[in-house]
Amino acid sequence: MPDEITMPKLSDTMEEGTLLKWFKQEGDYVQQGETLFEVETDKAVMEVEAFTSGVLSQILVQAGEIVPVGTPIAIIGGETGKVVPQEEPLMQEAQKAMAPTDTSLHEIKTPPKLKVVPPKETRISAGADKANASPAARTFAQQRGIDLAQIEGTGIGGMITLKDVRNFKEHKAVKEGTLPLTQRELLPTEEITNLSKMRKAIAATVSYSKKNIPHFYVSYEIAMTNVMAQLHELNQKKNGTDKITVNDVIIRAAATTLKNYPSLNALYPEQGLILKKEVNMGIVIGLEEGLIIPVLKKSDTLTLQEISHGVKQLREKAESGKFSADDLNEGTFTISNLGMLGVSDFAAIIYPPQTAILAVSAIKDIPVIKNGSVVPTKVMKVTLSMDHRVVDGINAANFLRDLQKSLETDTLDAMEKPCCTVEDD
Amino acid sequence: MPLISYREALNDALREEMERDPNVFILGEDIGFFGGAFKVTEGLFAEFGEKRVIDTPIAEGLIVGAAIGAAMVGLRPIAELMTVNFALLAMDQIVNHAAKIRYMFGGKTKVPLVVRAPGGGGSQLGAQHSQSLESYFLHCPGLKVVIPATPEDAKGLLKESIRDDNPVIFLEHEHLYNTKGEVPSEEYTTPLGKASLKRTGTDITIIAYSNMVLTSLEAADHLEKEGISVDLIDLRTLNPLDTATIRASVKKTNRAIIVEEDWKTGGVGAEISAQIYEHLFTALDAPIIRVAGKDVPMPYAKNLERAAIPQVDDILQAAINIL
Repeated sequence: MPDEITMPKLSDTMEEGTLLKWFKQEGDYVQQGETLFEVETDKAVMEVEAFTSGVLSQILVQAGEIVPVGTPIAIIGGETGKVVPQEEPLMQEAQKAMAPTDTSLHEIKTPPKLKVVPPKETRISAGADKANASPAARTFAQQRGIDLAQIEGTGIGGMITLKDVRNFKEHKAVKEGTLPLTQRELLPTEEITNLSKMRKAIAATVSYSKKNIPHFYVSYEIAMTNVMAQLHELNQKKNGTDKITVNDVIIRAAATTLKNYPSLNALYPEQGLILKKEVNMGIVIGLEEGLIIPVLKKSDTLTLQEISHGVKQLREKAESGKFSADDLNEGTFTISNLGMLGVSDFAAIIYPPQTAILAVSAIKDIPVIKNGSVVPTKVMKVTLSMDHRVVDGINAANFLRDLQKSLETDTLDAMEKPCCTVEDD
Repeated sequence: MPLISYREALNDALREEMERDPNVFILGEDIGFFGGAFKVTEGLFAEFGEKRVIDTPIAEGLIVGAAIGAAMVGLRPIAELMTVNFALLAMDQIVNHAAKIRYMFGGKTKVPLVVRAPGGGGSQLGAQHSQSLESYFLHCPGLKVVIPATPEDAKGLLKESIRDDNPVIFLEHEHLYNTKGEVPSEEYTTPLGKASLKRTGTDITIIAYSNMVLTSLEAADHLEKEGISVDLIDLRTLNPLDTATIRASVKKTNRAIIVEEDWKTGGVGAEISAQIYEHLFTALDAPIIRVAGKDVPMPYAKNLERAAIPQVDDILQAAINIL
C-alpha cells in the first residue's frame, strides 16, 4: 500500500509550510529515518525524516512551493509516476464499492507520526509578515530576499503587488548598485558588507559605461628593448633621484601621438563630439578601496621630466587622499597600467564621456624572430578600448602603429624637450 | 463548417443519438406533437413516434422518476424539464435517487440519465421563471453538471452526456437558443470535464460559463482595445471541473474574475474561488472578483432585471478594480 506524505504541522501556529528542498528524487529508495525533505514554517526551517521505507514514487509538491498543512506532498510506495485519474469519480467510487470486501475497518492504518528534527535556524523577519502584500508578491519577494517593508504598494488598499516588487527590484539594482539586502539571516560561512562610497561611484560609472558605450578593442605588441636600455642609462646618470619610470615614457608617447588623432582625445556626451586640443591625461591609480583617475593637465606640452614629476605629485596626493577637484576633472584620455603587476593582457572600461582608454600590460622577455634569427626582445602588449559610435578600427590601428613607432624609435633625449604647444585659433 | 443555431445543434444531437442507439428516448411536457416549449425537440415526434418521444403529464417528479427507472433497466432516457425552475419539483428524484442509486447499490446498477433544462433570466419572465440553479446541482455529489455556451459544444456535450453511464444535468440558457455558430458536419462528441479557452492573454483570467461566456467575450474585446489581454475560460462543465486549465491560467495571470449569472451567495463562483484560494494562494496578486447575479429574486421591471444580471460594464469595472 502506498503511503501518502502530507505537509506536517510542526508548530502550534503553523498553517502552511514552504517546501524548501527534497533530499531524495522520484524513484529513489528511502529508508525509514532518512532525512526526506526540508520545510520552512512561520518560525523555523526544519528537516523531516521519512516515517516509512519504500520507493519515493511521486513528488506532488516541488521545492519552493507553499502548501497548507495536511496537503499531500509525496507518495512512498505504489507505482512510480502513476497519476490517479480524476475524470471518473463516480466510476471509481462504484468500483471501490463493488470490490471484494478485503479492506475491513480494522485494517485502516492510523497515520504514522512524523519525527521532527529540531529547528536549526530562524529565517523570516517579523517585518515581512506584517507587510500588506499580495500572496504572489510575498512569494516573489521571499524567494529573492527582497524586504517588503521597503516597498510602497499600489494595489487595492495600498497592497504591494507583484508589479511593485518587480519594479522595486529593478530600480534598486540600477540606482544603488548595492547588493540586494537579504531577508534571511546569513549562514555562518557568509558575511554581508555595504559598498563604500568610492565603490558605489565606481560601480555606477562602469555600469553606465558598459551599458551605454559600445566598446571595441584593438591590441598591439610593442618592442620595449630600446626604451628600457635608454631608461636604465638615464636613471643611472640621475643617481637615484627623480627616476623616470617606463610609465612616464608611455604617457609622453601617448600624449604626443594623440595630437594626430583628435577623435581619440575627445569627449562624447552624446549631444555631439567635443574634440579637445590639449591632452589632459587621466592616470588610473589603484587604492585599497578602489581606484581613482587623477588628471595630468596639458601633458602634451610637458617634457618627460615634467611628466614624471607631475605623476609623482598625483600619486602622493592619491595616497594621502588630498586631491583638489581640479586634479580629477577635465581628463580627455586615460591610461590604465597593470604592467607592474605582471599582467600579460587586459582591456579597460572607457571612462565616460571620454572616447578611449589605453590598457598597458607587463613588459616580457620574448623570443622574436627578426631577419630570420631569434632575438630576445622586451615586448609590451597594449589594448585600446574605444567607443565605436565615434571611432573605427582604422583610427585605432593607426594610433597604435604610431604609438609603437614612437616608443620603438624616439630617443629619450628627444622626449626631454616639449613636443608640442597648444595652437591658438 | 455549417452555421447553425444552438437549438438546431441540440436537435441534431438528439436525432443522431436516437438513430445511433435504439435505447435512447426522450420524455417531457409538450415535447412530442408540439415540439417542445423552446422547439428543441421539433420533428422528432414525427420521425421516431410516440414510443420514443413521450408527452408526459405536468408532473416533474414523475418525469424524472420514470426516467430513472428506465435508466436502471438499461434504457438511455433524456428527460426534458420545461425550465430549470420546475426542476425544483423533481429535486427529490434527482438528489435522493438519481445521484445516489449507483453508490447505494454498490455499483451494481447504473443510471445513464440526462435531464435537460433551460434556464437563466433576461426575458422579463419574473422571479419564478428566471433562475439559474446550477449550484444546486453542483452541490450534490453524484451528478454531472454540463452547461454549454456555443452550438458546437451544445451538440458535442449532449451526445457525450447521453453516452455517459451516470446522471447528467444538462443546463441550457434560454437566450442562447437562437445564437448561431459553426458546427462540424461530421460525427464528434465533446468530453466532459474539459474547459475551452476562448481568448488567450496574460493580464487577467476570466472564468465563465453558459450565456456569461458571450458577455465576457464582449468585455474581453473591449479590454483588448485598452491593451489588457485576457485568458477567457469557458468551463463547459461544472462537474467534473477542469481545474488543470484554471490552474495553468491563474498561475500565468495571477488574477481571476469569475462571471456567473446565478446568485453570488453560495454560487458557482464561490466554489471556484475557494478552490483557487486553496490551491493557488501564492499565485494570486489580487483578491478574486466574482461578477455574479444580484442576491435578489429576479425583478420583473426591465431596468431592474438588467441590473440584477451581470453586464459587460460590470466585467470591465471588475477588470479595472483587479489590475
